[in-house]
Amino acid sequence: MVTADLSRVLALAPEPSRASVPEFAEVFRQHFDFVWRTLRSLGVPDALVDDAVQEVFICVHRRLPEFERRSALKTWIYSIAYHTAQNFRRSARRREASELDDELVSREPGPGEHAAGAQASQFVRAFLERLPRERRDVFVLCVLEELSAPDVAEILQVKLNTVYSRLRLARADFRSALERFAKSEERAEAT
Amino acid sequence: MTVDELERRFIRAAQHELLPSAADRERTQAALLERIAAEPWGGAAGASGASGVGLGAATGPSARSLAPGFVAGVVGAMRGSRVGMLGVGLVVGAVVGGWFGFERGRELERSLGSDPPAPAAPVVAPPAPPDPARNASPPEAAPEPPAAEPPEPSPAVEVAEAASARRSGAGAGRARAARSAAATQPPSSLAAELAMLQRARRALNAENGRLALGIVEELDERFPNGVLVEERSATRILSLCQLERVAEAKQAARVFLGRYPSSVYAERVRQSCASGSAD
Repeated sequence: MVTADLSRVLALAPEPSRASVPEFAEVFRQHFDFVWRTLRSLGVPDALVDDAVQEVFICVHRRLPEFERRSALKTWIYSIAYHTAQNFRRSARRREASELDDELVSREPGPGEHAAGAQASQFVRAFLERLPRERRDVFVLCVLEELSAPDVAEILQVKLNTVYSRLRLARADFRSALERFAKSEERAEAT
Repeated sequence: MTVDELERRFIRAAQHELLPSAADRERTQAALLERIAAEPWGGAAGASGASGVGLGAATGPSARSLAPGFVAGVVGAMRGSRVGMLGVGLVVGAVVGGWFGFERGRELERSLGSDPPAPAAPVVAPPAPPDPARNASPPEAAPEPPAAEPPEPSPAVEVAEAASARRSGAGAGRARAARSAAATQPPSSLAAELAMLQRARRALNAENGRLALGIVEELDERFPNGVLVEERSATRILSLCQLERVAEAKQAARVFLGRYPSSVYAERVRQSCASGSAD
């Protein structure tokens, strides 16, 4: 249950300490970009990203005074973003399930297009959307966001070995997808 | 190019391309400010007040004010061009408070530490609440904010979903463009949204449910990611009741009360024609 998960995450916040409360504006400035990217990477539809980011920072704003350890702040914010993404993509999934496959196919980069950043990005997003959810979450946090495996284990509330295991599988999936892409491009160039 | 090189290149591209644009940042920032300024923080004010006051220490007009401190602080820290947002927040609080029984407006007054604004209009019947994630506990509630509140999909989400559904054939790029177009509402759009809600309220007063519902639907189109979606949702329910579209009203009420069980407008909804299965 996501609600319970988020409650648990929030309950992990250290005891309040006004002396070391980080300023919200600073937190927003430092983390906005990464929260935005994480929500998109984790499957929040583009049309809902604005709302999802707002939900994350509303929650952060309410609970920020409970933090005194800045070192934990990033992980905590990612936790909120992760659970927010779960909520948003769940509601979106109901609607888009039938549309998704066709859309993903159309988003795959065509032969010769991979050099363009936008197409490469679309390829990654299409890959993420096809990936099983548990692998995707780990891939996004470890590879795209470059968080440490222990941090990811804390965010996802799973064992460290589970993170490593899922990451290994996700990386293998990604390489397979890239190999297929490279081969298709070679075939296209040959013709 | 080897697969290793391809992997690095694609990951770097995704890391870069998935970042928000300057417009994304500004739009989200403005919407966030509006929401916080207009929100009846209630119990959350105690906890959030620390950061709010801290942020606003340099320019905030009141030591005990949350919203001014927050708004001024964030505004000052980020761009310094949205001071008018506080005024907008006050207007929202005053008008919406006046409209929906003063609860929200009074709470906003308290949090802002300002003189109570005159009610914008006689209290009529309607509705409306603060959205789930926005819905910090009501003023009277425990001082501990419902921090665990999961950011449930808000009515804005519902509307955005509906809008997105209408664009069902659109790809990601088009969806993003549509989102940008729809969601890139300048701060002044809040005033426009509020004015339309007032029109809907007047229509309800005049027992013109058809007009009220039409305005609500127009709001859905113009402000799919609007700030006052909660009020809008409640207005929709009451409009449906006036039109004797009871089944639709009940369905909408179920969704509404599920998302905003502690809304200050929940009671109004429960007393409407949708009361039968609203709970």
